[in-house]
Amino acid sequence: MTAEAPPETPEVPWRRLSWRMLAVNAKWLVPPVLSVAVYAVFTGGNLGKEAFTRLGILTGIFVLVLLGETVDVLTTRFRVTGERFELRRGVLARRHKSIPLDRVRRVDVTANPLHRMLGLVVLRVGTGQRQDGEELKLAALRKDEAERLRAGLVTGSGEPRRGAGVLAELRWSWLRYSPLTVTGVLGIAILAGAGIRALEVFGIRPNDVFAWVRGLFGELELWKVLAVLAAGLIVLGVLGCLVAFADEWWGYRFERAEDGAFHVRRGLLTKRNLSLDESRVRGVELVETMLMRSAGAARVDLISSGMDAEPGEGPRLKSVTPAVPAAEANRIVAEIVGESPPPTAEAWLEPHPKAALRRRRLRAVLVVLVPAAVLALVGALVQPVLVAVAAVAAVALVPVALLLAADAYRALGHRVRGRYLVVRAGTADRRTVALRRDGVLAMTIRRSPTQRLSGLATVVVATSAGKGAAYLIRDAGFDGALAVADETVPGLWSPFVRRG
Amino acid sequence: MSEPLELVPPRHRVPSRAMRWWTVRAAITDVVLLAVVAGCAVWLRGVLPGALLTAIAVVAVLTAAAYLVLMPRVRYRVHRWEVTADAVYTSSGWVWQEWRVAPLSRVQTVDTERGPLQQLFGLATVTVTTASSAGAVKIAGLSHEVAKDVVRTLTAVTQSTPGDAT
Repeated sequence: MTAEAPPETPEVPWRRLSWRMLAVNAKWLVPPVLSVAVYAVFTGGNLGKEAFTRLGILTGIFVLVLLGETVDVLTTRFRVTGERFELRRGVLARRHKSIPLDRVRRVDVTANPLHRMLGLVVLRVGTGQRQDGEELKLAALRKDEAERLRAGLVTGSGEPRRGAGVLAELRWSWLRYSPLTVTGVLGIAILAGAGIRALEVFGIRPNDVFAWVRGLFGELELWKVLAVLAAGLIVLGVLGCLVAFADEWWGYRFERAEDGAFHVRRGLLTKRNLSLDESRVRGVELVETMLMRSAGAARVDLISSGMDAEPGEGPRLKSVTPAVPAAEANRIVAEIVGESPPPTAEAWLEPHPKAALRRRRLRAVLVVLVPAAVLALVGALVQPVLVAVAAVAAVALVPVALLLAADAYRALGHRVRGRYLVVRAGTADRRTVALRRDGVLAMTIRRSPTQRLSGLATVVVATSAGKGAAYLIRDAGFDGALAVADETVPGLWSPFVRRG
Repeated sequence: MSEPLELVPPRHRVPSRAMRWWTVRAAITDVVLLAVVAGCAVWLRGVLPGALLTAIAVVAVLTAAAYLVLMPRVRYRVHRWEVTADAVYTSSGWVWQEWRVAPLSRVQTVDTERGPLQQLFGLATVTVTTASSAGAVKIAGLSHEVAKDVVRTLTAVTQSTPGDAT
């Protein structure tokens, strides 16, 4: 909200991307070439007319992509003036983006093996501004140039802080948690499925593949074949998780620089280097999925705007640790927020009223019984067997649902602790959120008709960061909701709350 | 924490003609939905038994009537707003109700909006946004003149706030 014109700065020259990027872009020629090769192998080199057309279209699409990217590389110009980061791109549709440096939330530098061979890196800038896309991307910079640019973009708050230094470094013992985090078996199954579907493009049917696999086992009975395949899938899945962990977290190092900027370095094949300004961090989340809880592991996510990567652009940026022992995760949280004991530690949180448990139980039962009732109704009309199926499903699933409801209720809790508002919730993913109280932008108390009847309320805490830009304290007691709202931002609610 | 806490409703009501505005909106919604129901009924005539169709029609008409009569009145009772020296405070909704406070130091923009119906009744909606999509405060159905005053006050306050209000 400053209106005065920026002072005249001497013209800063525009810089370009590296020419070497053109070599990287040649990767777009790999899929068509590979497709032709695969096809040739499977058919013995006889290109039918239909296959020829398909391969032709495929090649055409990739050549178009290659041309588009090449034009982008050749026409991109960028510069950092005193206050702004500017980016120009395009020939026909020219785009000019200019963002103030104080809007830069994070800088993410990555280099895949191809880039590294050529001494290049990709640099992404997260702005946290929804109107013009979350991210600006420079597809190819020389390493030294990227380093200079990064230093210019993420400056930290400038003031030296306590606790500068390494917050966490890779320990190979964490490898044991990796199968808990990636859904490895599922991943392999999906990959296999996709691969088989892809072969269909060349006229190779799934049945042919199955027949071929069956042939490998000779005379073995079908169930044994399936058992061997399932075991193989699990082994492959676990191996895949270990490999994925190694690739993602090799050389992991999470540190705080003297100027108060966070840096996360990691990666084996693709190296990543994330930098963000500490003053932009609105809080920390301790994430424990159900599997991770069973093994006593947890992960730390940062709450900051501009952390949403473009879909499909690698792993979650906001996760600054892999799954680590819960105590270690809490130690890292304590170092990040500079408060000890850490606000996320397993400690006394204000529990929610029993009415919240009753709500969860009721919902759990309805989630099971309503579909079962529909199934039974349909069954009664057309297929009597379905009634029995519905009854068995209901009897088996209601206890499970009730257990989950109880677990969900146990997770609920909130408390104001130091500079942070702590909120815990969730069953499948249990999240303990520690939100900076000075980052709270607005607060809402919300009540549905049933909540009014049972004396509950939900508090919506709006921040500039995080999913949906809000964190919810669900089903707190109405009194407790008012108390925590008033305590989170002192003086904000007090004129509007009275003792009855 | 001995005595129970309760919320003080915001100080101001919206003008009672806002009730007429909500009634007209409810009437439009009702007409559209009833037309859809009627269309489906005609289409399903012969497929479903006549008694069932009649029952559906009766329920639809009763629901529509209840919405038309109840919604504007309950909304009017709930809808309140207040601007203090430090914050904007509103209560809104009818079935689901909410009370929202945004500190003025966090306000980024202040907008007024007047749809054709609102213009007809001399009403306006003021939207106060913060840097969070979940933190916008809406005061719907203000009288046009009051809305102008509110915008003037809020703009003056927010312009004097340094920083980008994140």
